[in-house]
Amino acid sequence: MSDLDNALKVLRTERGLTQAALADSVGVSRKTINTIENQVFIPSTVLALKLAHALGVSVHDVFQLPDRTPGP
Amino acid sequence: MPRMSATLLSRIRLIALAATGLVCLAYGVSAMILGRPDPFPSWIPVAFGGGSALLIFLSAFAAGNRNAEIATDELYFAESHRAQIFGFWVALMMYPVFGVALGSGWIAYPVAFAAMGTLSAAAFLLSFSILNARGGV
Repeated sequence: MSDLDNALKVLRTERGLTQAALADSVGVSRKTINTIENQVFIPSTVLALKLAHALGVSVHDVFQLPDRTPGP
Repeated sequence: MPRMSATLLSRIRLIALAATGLVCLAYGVSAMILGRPDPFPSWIPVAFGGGSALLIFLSAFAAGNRNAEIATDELYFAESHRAQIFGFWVALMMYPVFGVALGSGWIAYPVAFAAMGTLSAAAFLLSFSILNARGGV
């Protein structure tokens, strides 16, 4: 079970972007985008911010902590 | 002149490193089975290692800076790091394993050194190849 949920695929497809196109816009490989969408790989903060910027949304709209994460 | 794509560069790198890893594994295992430090000419794993390095370098040159950076993005470094961890522990564990084998007289020192070196290399190269082919860490 991943430590980070994401809506990357939903947001990407809403904007009509392929994985390759999104990957090219943020300077990573298509495989990286694929592994992030499948929650196999957790991106760095910088890459997460780049992805949010490329999609035109806040990083919090793309990535969320799972509901089971204990609060403060 | 069109640049080599990042995907092609990654694929060339994967094939080169996997092939080198398999040769190193074959050398180490053969050394132990045959009981000799040179189961086949030692220049073969050297050629694969050096040839892979040269091939990857030339491919990265052909790909250009941007595509080379894409082919070495953070997922690549995560996979490489994970493979390095695995290779480190395999290399470390070889000392007690081969120490017992040497102390028991099951294997000669020249054979042990040949096997330990090539198997350590194979551990990193093959684990990276598997992680890279599978995608993700």
